[in-house]
Amino acid sequence: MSGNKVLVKNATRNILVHIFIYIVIIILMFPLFWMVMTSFKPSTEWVTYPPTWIPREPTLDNYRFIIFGTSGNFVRTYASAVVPYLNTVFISVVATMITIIVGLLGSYSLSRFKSGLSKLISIIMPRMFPPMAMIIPLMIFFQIIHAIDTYWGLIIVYVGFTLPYSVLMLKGFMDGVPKEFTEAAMLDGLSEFKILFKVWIPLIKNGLMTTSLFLLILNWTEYTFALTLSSREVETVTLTLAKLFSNEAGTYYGPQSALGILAAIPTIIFGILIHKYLAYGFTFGALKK
Amino acid sequence: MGKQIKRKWKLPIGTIMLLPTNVIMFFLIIIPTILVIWFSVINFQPNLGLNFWESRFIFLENYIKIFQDKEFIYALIRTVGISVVCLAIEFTIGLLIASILTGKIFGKVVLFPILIIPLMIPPIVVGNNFWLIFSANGPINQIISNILNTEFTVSWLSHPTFAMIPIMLSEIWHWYPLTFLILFSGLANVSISEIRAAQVLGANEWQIFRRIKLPKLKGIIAIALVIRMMEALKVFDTIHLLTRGGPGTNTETLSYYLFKEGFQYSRVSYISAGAWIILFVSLLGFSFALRTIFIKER
Repeated sequence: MSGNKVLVKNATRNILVHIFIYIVIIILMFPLFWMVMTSFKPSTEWVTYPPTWIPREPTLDNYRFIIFGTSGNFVRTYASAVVPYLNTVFISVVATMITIIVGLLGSYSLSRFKSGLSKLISIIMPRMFPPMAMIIPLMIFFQIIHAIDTYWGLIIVYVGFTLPYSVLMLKGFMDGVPKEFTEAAMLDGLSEFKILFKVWIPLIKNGLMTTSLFLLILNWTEYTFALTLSSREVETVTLTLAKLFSNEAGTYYGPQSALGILAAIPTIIFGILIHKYLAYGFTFGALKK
Repeated sequence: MGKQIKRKWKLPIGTIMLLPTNVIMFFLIIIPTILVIWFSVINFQPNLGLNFWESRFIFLENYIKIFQDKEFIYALIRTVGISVVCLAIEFTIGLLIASILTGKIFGKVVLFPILIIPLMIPPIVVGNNFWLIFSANGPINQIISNILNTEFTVSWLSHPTFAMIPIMLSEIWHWYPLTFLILFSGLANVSISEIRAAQVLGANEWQIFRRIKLPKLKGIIAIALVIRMMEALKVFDTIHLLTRGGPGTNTETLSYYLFKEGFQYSRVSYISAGAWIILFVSLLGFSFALRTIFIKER
């Protein structure tokens, strides 16, 4: 083959690969596209056949409905979604903060003192246990301590069930800290807490941010515990979304999509912020950065 | 002597730092786990009015009963089936996109974050997405109608056999970014010089992939498998939203089965036994998967 032919072959191949990957991406993004479009459709276009791909009369009614609980001719049977939204923000932020602080101490101890694999296994094991089975003992436990349908009850559960992730992910990042830094700090006579907060944390800044945002996403998107351990007094945004499905007045396609988008936007932003380090965190440090 | 020992004794700072973690784990994971063991060998149903410490001890009866329950067996098979099929498709998609994106692609900086968006979306919103596009008047039916040139108006989610398709697609869509991310990082670690050397020796793409890239990815694939399997056993949100296990019990997975039996019929002991069986099966599955991967490597 002459050089020219190889070049042409490479160029066509290159173009085909580009076309292929862009088609794949368009297909993969279709469900999301559809939800965004539905959220701007007026109620007359929700269930028409053939469906309208781009809303003929785009409207913000659905968002108004979600925020104010009423809009135009349709009225929600209960209050707006603002309170559940704020509940979600509050619960997930507080739970994440607690998990990160506890996880930092725990993972530092595991990473620095290598204090045993058995402890690690006891952390991983529960992740395999179906959470659905854990909920009933937890419910009984929670009834005794009056934690059902409370903010702190939900926060405790979220802390408990994301802590394994916190410890393992942070440990993965901490294992990458060079020994020399720790040794130098020890020679300077720093206490263990100071080594952790003044030396290690600045070194694993990215890892810490990745872990925190990942935990925030986990807490934000949680549904099973919210459904079973609370739902009357403390409603999270995932519960509100599920409620919109089984509404007495029928299904609200539009507001449902609007709320879905509002619920997903923060997590998508967090995800994009941390996407570079996420693979490293997911594999608990088994991958190189 | 005593004084010397006292001076040598240091504050066990490592243990102290691990204490909060262990306390939380103890109360939220260990105690419930022990309770689940206990529940599984007694006859405890909250709606009977007895507390769990007053309930009758029946030893393995729950385990025997649950193995005779066809619904449970079907849910088990269905869950394993969904996990295997979804994992296979996710790995194919993930590997395909990852190997394309390791090359030079126009707009890679933008494509990468776009591709991982589905992973960040709350599962309940994923359910919502697929519910919309698979509704009887939705775009999927429209596209199929246009291709087949006839009216095609199946309501997917209430169809006894088709209902599984939206559920599986939603699972695949939600989780392919995980395999993609992990495989992408793995592929990025394969040294370019080795690939160049193979190219000079005249190896084609497939040979390079099979002989150079795949062996290096094995450990990473194992990790991705385990993480993903753990999540696959918990499929609940999307099913609760899309089909509620229906029509009939045609889309019931293990999690949904436990939810139904435990919360709607309050058969606590029964589902505790089920939970142990699930844990046992998943441990078996993990060790089998990991062993096959690592033995082949040697």
